[in-house]
Amino acid sequence: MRRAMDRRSSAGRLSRPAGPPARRDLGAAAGAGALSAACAIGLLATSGWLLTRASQRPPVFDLAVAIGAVQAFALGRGITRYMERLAVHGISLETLSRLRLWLYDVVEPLVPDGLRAAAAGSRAAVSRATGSLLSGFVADTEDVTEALARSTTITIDLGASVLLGTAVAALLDPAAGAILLAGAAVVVAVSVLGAQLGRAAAGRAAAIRAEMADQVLEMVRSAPELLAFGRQDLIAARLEGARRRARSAALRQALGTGIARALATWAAGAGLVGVVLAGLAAHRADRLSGIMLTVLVLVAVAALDQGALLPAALAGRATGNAAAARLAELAHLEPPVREPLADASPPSGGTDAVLDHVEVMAPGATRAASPTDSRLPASPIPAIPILHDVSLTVAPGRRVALTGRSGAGKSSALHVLLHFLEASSGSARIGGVDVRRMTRTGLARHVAWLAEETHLFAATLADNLRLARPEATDAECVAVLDAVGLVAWYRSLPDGLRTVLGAGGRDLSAGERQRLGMARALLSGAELLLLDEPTAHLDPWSSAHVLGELLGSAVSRSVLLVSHEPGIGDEVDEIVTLDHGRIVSREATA
Amino acid sequence: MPAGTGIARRAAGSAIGPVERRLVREPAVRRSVAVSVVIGLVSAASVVVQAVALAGLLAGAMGSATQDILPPILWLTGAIAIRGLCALAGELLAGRGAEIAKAELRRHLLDAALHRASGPGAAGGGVGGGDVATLAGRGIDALDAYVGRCLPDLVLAAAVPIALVAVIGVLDWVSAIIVVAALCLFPVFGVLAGQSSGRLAARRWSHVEVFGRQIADIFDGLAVLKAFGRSKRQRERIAEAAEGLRLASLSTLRVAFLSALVLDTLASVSVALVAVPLGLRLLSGSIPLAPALAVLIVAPEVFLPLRRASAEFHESTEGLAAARRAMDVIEGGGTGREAGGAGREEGDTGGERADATAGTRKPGDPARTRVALHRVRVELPGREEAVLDGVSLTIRPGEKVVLVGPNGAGKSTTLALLVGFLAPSSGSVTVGGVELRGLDRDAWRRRLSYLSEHPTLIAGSLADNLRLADPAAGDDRLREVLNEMCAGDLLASLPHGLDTQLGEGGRQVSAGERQRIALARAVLRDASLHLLDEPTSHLDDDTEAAVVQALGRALSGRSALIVTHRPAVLRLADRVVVLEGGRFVTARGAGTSATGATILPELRG
Repeated sequence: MRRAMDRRSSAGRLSRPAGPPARRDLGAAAGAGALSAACAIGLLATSGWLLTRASQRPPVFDLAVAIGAVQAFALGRGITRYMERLAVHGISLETLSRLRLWLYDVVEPLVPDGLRAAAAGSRAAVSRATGSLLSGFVADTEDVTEALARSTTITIDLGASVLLGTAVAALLDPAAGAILLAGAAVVVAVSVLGAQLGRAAAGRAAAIRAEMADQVLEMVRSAPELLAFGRQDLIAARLEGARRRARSAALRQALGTGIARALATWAAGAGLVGVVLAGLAAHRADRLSGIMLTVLVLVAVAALDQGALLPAALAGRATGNAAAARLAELAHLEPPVREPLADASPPSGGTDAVLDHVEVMAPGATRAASPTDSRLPASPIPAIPILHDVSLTVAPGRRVALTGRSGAGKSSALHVLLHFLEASSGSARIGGVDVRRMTRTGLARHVAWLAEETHLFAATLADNLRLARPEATDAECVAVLDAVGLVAWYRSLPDGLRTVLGAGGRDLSAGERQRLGMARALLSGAELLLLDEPTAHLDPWSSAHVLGELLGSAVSRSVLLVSHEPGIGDEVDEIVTLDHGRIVSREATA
Repeated sequence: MPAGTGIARRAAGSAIGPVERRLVREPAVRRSVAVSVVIGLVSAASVVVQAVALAGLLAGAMGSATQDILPPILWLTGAIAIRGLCALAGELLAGRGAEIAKAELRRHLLDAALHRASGPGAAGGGVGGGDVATLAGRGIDALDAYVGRCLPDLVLAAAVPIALVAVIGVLDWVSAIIVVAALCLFPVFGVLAGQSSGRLAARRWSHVEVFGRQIADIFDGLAVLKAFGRSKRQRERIAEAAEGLRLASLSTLRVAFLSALVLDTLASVSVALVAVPLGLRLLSGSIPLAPALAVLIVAPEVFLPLRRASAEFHESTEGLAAARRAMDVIEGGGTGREAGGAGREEGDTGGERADATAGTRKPGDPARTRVALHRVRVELPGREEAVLDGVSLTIRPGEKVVLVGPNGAGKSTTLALLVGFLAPSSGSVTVGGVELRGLDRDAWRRRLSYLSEHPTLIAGSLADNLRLADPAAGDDRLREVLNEMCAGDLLASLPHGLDTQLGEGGRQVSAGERQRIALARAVLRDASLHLLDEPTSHLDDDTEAAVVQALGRALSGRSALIVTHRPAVLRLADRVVVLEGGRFVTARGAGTSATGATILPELRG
């Protein structure tokens, strides 16, 4: 299945939805590449002509043109190559821009719940050392583009040298031209075949490497216990087996690439020998002068040189293809919700939030495969409900806590109200209106969300806050900072509201981050606050305290809170416990 | 990692030096590189043979007499055959060498990682245990290209040109001098172009980074933008940033490719520089045609390895970065204070990790003798303040000491000291008056049971996981401890009972289930000193109460040091010790359990 995906989604194909490169740019790249190949062939051919002609001791004047040409070709080679590189990368950077917009359009409807399948399915994407799943996909767009640049370059270079070489050779001796073309064709065929075969081996090797990486991770994580129990022998023993398999897989892969490279070298060599023999035969038959024989052979050498680089270039496409496959899988994910075109959200003020017999299926099923597309992977997550007949009401000004084990469906319940997830039966209503009939903007007027970890954008404090309500004044911003207990911190900032936060900006503690997130939620003016384990990343000594302050700042607003905090009963009006997607208990507190 | 364009990233990466010297010191890496270089030289030799054979044929064709073309054609064919074989052997050996070198590195890295992960230093800045694990797993795989191709190519870039120049020297010494002169210019121009373009590229690179970061940032915060109804408008910002990134990258590349332009031009110009004088000398008859043609064919090959090495280098910046991080971890893995660890071979690790090797004395039994910390001070790399500072604590035989205090107070560090994961930088840890570092480490650990703050299950059956603590325990005993630790219902729910596979590929367990299994594992061990780090985390209140009661029974007659932040656990204590800021601030005697609940809020304030 994976192989089928790979073949379907090479870098070249994937870049297509992003639009074809401008024909003018591609023409410029091909033109510069052809000139560069011409210079390389011309340099060797004219040099050969120069030497053989000189050996006949002609007057110096006869050589002047050749000497000039040799120097011109030498200089032209570097410059045209530079132009080709720039043109190719210009194209690929443009593709990258379009690919990123394409990625945004694909991912925006999926975030956050629709991506669960992708997160589960492509571990590789998560483990790219880029941290989060999404920036992993952003990095994938780079790999795809880079592979595209490389394959464009090699296609242009190889095509131009072979065609030019063949043309020159055919002019000198048609048979030699044909042999040169045939030799180059065999080189290409062998290289492509080798790359195809190598891909399967590479896939197996990658799978074993991933397995080994998991084992290493497991070993490091369990190291304290294993060491304390004196069982360090287990570590070595477990890794040894995986290591041996990884080694044999790597060797098999290397054998594949090696055979392809050897065959390509031999094919290019056979082509050269063929050209030499054809040329010699023509020379003996007096159809070709000795000088032109030299030119013919050197042209063949220059043209076939490019072919030897092909297997390595094709092997280098693996990264790009893997990235393309991951992105292609994204495109097949079904968005978990549909946003309406017109907004039917109720007027603000005194609205309640209701989950009415809500059932939710796990998102991530792939789009129904069309008959011609049977190679599409089946849904990685079977359709099991993650919420089952869940009903609850948050009346204006009330506070409800959701508790339960992880995976019990607490966050999913919030996500239904946020319309990140859609109820397959039952409904989620705010002020009596089904959330499915509200646009994002409409819904945001009523509901604000604070997640486990607040994402701060690399932007100013004011921008980060005004995200919730662009028209908020500075005074309103400071007021919400005051409400969440950040006013002292705010006063300590050198640039006040203009202080830059986020990546590359000012560092915040986990507590400050969550308070800021709460300030943002408050600024939005929404009457219903959905707080999803807002203190999960704080140490246990401060979490209860911070949670209390966060809730304290939410005066008079309705709150639906997911929390494990032991003393939560004192802070809320009702505790609802979920287990396996069902409500197992409701407890009204004082 | 800022998400700039990889292309520009690599181009700008040329500012980094090409060789990770510490990596080259690894014997496995050296062997692998040496073999690849030998193959590269054989391949270069066959190029020379091919050139000479071709030149002979062509020069012969220029002559009037008919020549016997069979020998040169055979030479030519033979040379091509050997080149193909070299390509095959090169791939095989590069693959094999990289694999061996990686295994070696992974072993060193894992040793270092085990020390990191077992000491609480993992939390104290620098490289965390998880990072090291990622590095030892997938990070090392990034080395393939670096060890398998880039390093050999770098050596070949030095060896092949020298060998080929020598061959040219034999054919025609004047051309050899010209080629040498060009070769000397190569690094000069290369460095000049590299430096000026490197500086320019670095300056422009910062723009690329800014745009790249903006894009990644918007993607990462997409859920927030959506929740606040702002995601549609961000499409324009992505478009703007992507366009900015494109322009910035393009201008970076324009500069970064300059060094490639110089190298390319120099290589082709030097062919012209060789060809033109050769032509003029042929004109005057001072050189025969055959060697002149051979020189012409060989001359471009002199520069090929150099160009390939610079290209390979750009390709493998990622591998180089991985190598750097790996070597940093391996060398920084032991600060000289960590006690010896798992399966490390001596003398193989560069010698910088002075080992606080455990001695051979037989340890006393904590059931009969005191275990004590005397004025212990612990400093961890990456932390300015000492984690523990002048801490003293005695655990009397059979005594249960509960250690409380805020995060980062040094509670887990205290446990690590007693397991022997760490040795104090001053002060001492003693068992029955004998320093721990003088004791037989394995014998000491046989007297211990340990529950880590983040217990992990290995991939294997439930029984395998429990028997880590006691390989000889029978199934009945396993069921018994599971029942004691409130995991009886869990066991009943498992399809294959004790033989059910857990973890990766098996049944996934929740945090609470994992905690109960780990607790059962800890009490399964017939130890005289139990070191338990947060034994009741991830447990609900009812389970916690039951577990605490069961622990009370299981630990009777044994000594224990228990770290907790849960009031319920205080009930186990003969004595509660409060640790704050690396010092003990209070030590209350037995009977505090009733007032335990008041200690915790007191600390919070």
